[in-house]
Amino acid sequence: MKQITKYILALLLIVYLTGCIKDTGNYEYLDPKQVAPVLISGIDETYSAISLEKLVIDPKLGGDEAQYDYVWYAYPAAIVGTQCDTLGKTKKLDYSVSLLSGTYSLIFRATDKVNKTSVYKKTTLTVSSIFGIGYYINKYENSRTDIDFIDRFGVVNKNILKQINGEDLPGKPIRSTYEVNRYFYNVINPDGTKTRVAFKPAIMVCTDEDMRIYHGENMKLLKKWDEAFLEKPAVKKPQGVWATTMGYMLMNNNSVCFVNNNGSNVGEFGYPYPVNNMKLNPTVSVMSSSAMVYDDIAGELAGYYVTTYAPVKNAVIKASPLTLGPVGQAYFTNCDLIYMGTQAYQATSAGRSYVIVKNRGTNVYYLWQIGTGNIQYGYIYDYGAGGLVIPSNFGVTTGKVFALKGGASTALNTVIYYSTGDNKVHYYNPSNQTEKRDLITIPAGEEITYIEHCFDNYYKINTFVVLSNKNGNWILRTYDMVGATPEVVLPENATYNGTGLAKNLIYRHANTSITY
Amino acid sequence: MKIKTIKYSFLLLAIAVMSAACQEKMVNKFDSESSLFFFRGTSNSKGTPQQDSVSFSFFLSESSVIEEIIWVDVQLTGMPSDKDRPLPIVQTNVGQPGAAVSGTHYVAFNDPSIAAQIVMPANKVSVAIPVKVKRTLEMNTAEFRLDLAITTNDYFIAGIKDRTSYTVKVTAMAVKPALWDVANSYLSIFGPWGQAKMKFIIDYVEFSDFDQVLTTDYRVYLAIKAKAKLAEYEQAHGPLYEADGITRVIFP
Repeated sequence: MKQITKYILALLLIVYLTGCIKDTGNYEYLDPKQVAPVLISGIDETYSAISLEKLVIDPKLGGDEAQYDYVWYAYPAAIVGTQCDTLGKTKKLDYSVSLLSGTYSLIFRATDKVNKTSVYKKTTLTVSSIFGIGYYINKYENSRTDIDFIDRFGVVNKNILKQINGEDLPGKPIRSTYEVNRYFYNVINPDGTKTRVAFKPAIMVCTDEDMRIYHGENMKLLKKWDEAFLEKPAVKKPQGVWATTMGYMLMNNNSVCFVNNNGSNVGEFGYPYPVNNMKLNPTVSVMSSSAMVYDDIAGELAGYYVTTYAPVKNAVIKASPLTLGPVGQAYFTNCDLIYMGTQAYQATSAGRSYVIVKNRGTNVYYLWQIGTGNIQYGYIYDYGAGGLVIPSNFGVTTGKVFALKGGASTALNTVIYYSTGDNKVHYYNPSNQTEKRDLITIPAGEEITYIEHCFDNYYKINTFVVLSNKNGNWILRTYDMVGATPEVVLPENATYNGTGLAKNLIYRHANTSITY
Repeated sequence: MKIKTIKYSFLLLAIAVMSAACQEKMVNKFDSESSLFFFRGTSNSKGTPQQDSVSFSFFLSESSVIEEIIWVDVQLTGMPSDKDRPLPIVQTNVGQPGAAVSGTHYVAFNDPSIAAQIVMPANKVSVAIPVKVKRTLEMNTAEFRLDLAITTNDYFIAGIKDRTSYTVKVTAMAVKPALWDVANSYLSIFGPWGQAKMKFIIDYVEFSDFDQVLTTDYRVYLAIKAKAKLAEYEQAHGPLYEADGITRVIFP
């Protein structure tokens, strides 16, 4: 036994001593510039591309370019750990863009075939379809609804729904909504089997007679009304459609239903949620996955959250700012809704929702600042405005169209733009209880039908738009904002014209995730 | 002495390994009797789950339907034959309370209409046999049980021990679907199962395919619809109860 132990110890000693021998290998260290490929020029720091159009990049490398293997690939810039798409394997990238709209990291790599060293260049690629940037004007013409699309080059593309699909929608426009990647649907194959298409952008267009769903990249029709439900409603009376981060919400015949974005849906609206004797006002304020609605009978706020199968009702609650738990009673009831909207902020984040109501008994106007997103917790969160009285001589109380200044303001640090439907835009500033009159005056005879502050804090979108009608034609004016102030730079930055009566619009920039 | 012992042990081991490596391997071929057993698994040859029993109800069938076939897979252990071989399947609960009666509640296996199908076909190792059940009036209030067993005949013996019996339960009452209590399934939508509840779902929610594995959005659709329809029903007729008169039909 001792002998064996000795042998083992001797073996360990040999291994140990061998480890101390100085390594006098014949390695030769070279400057990487001498052996690795060298990128000289030809790749910019950023690129913008339009879907289905060509993206061509031809870099110049030092040395023998035939001696290298090449690869171009891209992955979403904001999402860690996602799969890369290979765009090309030649030095010159000649790629017909098929990536979905969004911002990508674009990578070029050249590798020496012999010594396997590489040069690597990372740039930013922003992709959008031709429909990925621009204004979608919902308009009414010849008793039908269609969209005039103003693209990034300022070209007004008339009646895109009819142009692309051969058919527009019956009825008068109510509104449309867009979401970037949460729509799923089935495609029927020639052999009768179904293929589920997942994570696609969609635009839903709603009129007072119809609602249809279009692909957000190419505006091709995906579903008509009859195909858009797990069970088609007995009564067809659409009142509006909204995108939320958990799915789409349709209001039809005084009730709401959802395409629940749960990973297994096929893009069809489910059964109507209970309405509990409410009469739903067609004005809805959405934030994240919650939707704030208004009950015109009781004259108070209510809410829906896609995975809570009953309305949050009679619940404007004074909530603890720390715990978000309710600590008080309902604030108001028996009021008429004047305005309700949510501040745009960035991506899917929104700021605060603002509500103007008029007490039916006292005729006093109040402003409320609501956290619509808290509807998911079962109540409607008041941010502490507690019902700010609006002086009765303020024009905002007679407003017909409204817009909130974008941002994620605390307290009452925003303004509410409004127009009475004539040719002027004003704003109400609740933080100091003042109004600015005649912020914008467009030519007499034009009737303002829609205003919006197009805003994204991250992507630095900061434009004010005024949509008006005159003599059966629409006019869109865009204005630059004066920094972060509520003021606009006069005169307008651009003007666009089209035929038909405009109702409203949605604006998409290259990275729009959702239009509330 | 110990070192020597270790050395010799290693030597012997090496010799043993070498000699074993040179030995010709003899493969034992199967030459015993053929045996049979009932298939057990999540999907038989007809695509339906087959465990140790099945419950069938005429509840979901049109009232004009008086016979239905339940397919049961039987499998072979042993060599296939070049000719059809009759299967030794018998009822083991004849005369017992609640037992299905041959000719009344089901078609006997030796009945000319199906006898030719109660065989292991030539060159096959499995077969789906038809259990043809018949609707009777008694089934509106009772369930009948057909206990089957594989026995022995000239061709087969019973195979895998715990798979030589199979039970078919037949009724016209509502039967709790097999998937009801599965996670994220009917229990989560409709709550605990009950006969009156199931009839309400079929009649008012207009859903009857309880073998379906449901997607989330469809579950949500059914859950909301069931509650809405029950509220409508209760407004018109008052609360709905199970047969015991105590358990109220509600949806979670």
